[in-house]
Amino acid sequence: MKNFISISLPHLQLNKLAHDQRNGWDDKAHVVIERIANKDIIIDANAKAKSLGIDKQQSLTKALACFDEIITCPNNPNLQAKIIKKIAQFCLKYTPKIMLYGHSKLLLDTTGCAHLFGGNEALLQHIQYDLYGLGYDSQIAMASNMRSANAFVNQAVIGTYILHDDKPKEHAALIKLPIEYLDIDDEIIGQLQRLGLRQIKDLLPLKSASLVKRFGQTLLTHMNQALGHESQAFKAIKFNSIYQTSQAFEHTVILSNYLQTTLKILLENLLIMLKVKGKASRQLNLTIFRPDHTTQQIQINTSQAHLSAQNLSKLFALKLDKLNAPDGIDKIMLTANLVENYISKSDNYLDKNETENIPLTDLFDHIGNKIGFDKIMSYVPANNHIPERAFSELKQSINIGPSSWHKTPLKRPTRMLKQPYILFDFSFANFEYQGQRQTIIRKSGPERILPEWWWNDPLWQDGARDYWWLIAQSGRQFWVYATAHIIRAETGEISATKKRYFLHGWS
Amino acid sequence: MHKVTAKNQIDELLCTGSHEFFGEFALYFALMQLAQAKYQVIWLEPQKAADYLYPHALVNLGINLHKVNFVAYQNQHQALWVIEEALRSGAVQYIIANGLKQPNLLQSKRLNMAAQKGKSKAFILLNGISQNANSAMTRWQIDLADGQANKYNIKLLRSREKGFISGKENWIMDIKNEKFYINLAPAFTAQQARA
Repeated sequence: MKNFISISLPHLQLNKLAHDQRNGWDDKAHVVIERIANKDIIIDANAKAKSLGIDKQQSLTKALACFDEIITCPNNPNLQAKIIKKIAQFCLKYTPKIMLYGHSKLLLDTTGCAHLFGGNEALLQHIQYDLYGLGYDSQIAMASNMRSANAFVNQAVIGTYILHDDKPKEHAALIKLPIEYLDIDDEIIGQLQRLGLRQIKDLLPLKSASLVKRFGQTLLTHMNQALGHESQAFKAIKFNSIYQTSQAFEHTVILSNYLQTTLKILLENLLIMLKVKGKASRQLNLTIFRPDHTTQQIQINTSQAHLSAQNLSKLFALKLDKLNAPDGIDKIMLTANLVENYISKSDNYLDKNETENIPLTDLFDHIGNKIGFDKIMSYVPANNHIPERAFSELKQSINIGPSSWHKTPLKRPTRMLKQPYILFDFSFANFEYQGQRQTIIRKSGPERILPEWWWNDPLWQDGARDYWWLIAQSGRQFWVYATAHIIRAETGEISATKKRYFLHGWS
Repeated sequence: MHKVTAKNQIDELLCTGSHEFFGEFALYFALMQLAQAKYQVIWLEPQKAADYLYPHALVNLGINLHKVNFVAYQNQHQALWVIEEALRSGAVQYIIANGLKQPNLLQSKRLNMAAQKGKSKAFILLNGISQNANSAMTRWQIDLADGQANKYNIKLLRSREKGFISGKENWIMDIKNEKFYINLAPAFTAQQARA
């Protein structure tokens, strides 16, 4: 017999809030609100709020009129989705087959799993106890198919479970359930109720054809699924593999040497775990658990997938002094956050062609972990005629292969200003820059560069630029451009144009 | 027989260790070294600089950009740490740092020791020179030669290998058609001929 467990978590967001703000939660009224038709409607309330008479579907304005000390929290489906995924991941300990059902329900296919926990009842108790421990209110039901498990879960009281592991008894209980537990639209429920059809058993004597004709296919399909006449697809969630290893200490550890030794052992274990799967890590997290129940984390990144415990422990050594645990450490956990398929070194292009690059990646890992990977960059050519966009800056990237740079036919400045510098008091005889008057002895140009008409670049809003090379007496060669600055009257019409000169770079 | 050219003279002086370039046109002397690089090079730039090296200009000067990696540093301390680590690793042929203050005696000694370990070279483009002594292998001043654009006077101010420096050892670096040429300075040539 198949077994499905449906878990409903009706107060997901409130439970999460209660968990985050442990102190004073029970003393204050908390509600979750949603804006429906320009009105803030309460969709969930905690025990304190309920004791004050505030409940679901009530308007927030009305509730505030009676009690002004209500703490509101907007409904956040994204947060709910995150929490339910985390709970689903937690439920992997019961079964590998888990399906998300709506925003607040989980379905577990526990066929063949229950004996590991001492039977169906023991399993349900286990789940209930674990979820209570996590701080979530839950309703749990077990039945022989997904639809009936979902129907029974609506009947379960918070903190209790319903178990049906006997088919005839399950059938008898199921037909007594209200029809709305079969996940039917409210409109159809209304129609059924007007006809006096309230329980599933009321539908059984009716002919299928007439049911479909009057209420659509969904009602019949859901009823047949619940009764076990039709199957329902189970869409199990695919979880990313977690590569994690940890070491808990019997007594709190203070010695930093001991920490380093344990870290090395954990690294070796984790790398073996990754190697078996043909993976290697690019980002590792080290978490320490302190005796005061707080945690601290350090992270290392690598520019390439790494399988060397020695190099990785060197990178961790750079950051170990950031860990602050004066009272010692209870547990160390090492997690590979970012893993990639590992290409063995013998197949690596770099090994065959540019052996000098191999230690370079280690060097940049070392530098990147100390000062930040965003500080390391390389340039690649870009197909653009605008000088400042004729190349791309690749951050966190190491130059290792040949690139397609070509010489440009026109001269370009060795150093370019990030922001062009406006030259007031400019003439082709002399101009002032950084407090020094530059006397021009020769000039060449202009080279006209037109802006890209297809997008409105604020730096090029003055239109075409005429670039000049100006050679100063000091030996400096300046790359200066002139633009026609348009002056508009209050009416928006062009009243005058004025030439402005900017310094863009020098050699 | 090994022909002694002006370029060879400079290459021999720029031995393993840390070297300091100073002067308005020191950048071009560093770029000349960069153009000669056969292996990977790290170029250090201050993060808050108002300008940057324009890659297309470097390509025009014959520099292989796929051999160059740029690192932005926040302060002198960070830059010196990067130089030391890069020198010690031996993973790069040169490390060139722009816009640094002159390292003190202890810092320059550390750089030289790291360079000896990794058998690599550091070229530090100084903002200015101080009167304090340090342990740099060489120090060079690069200025414009005879008021001519693209022609620069390279003066050796100090060399630990050579010991006493008269201050008259000069070379001329010329950039013609975006290529670097090194010649002995006329005064120096005459001095050598007399010797």
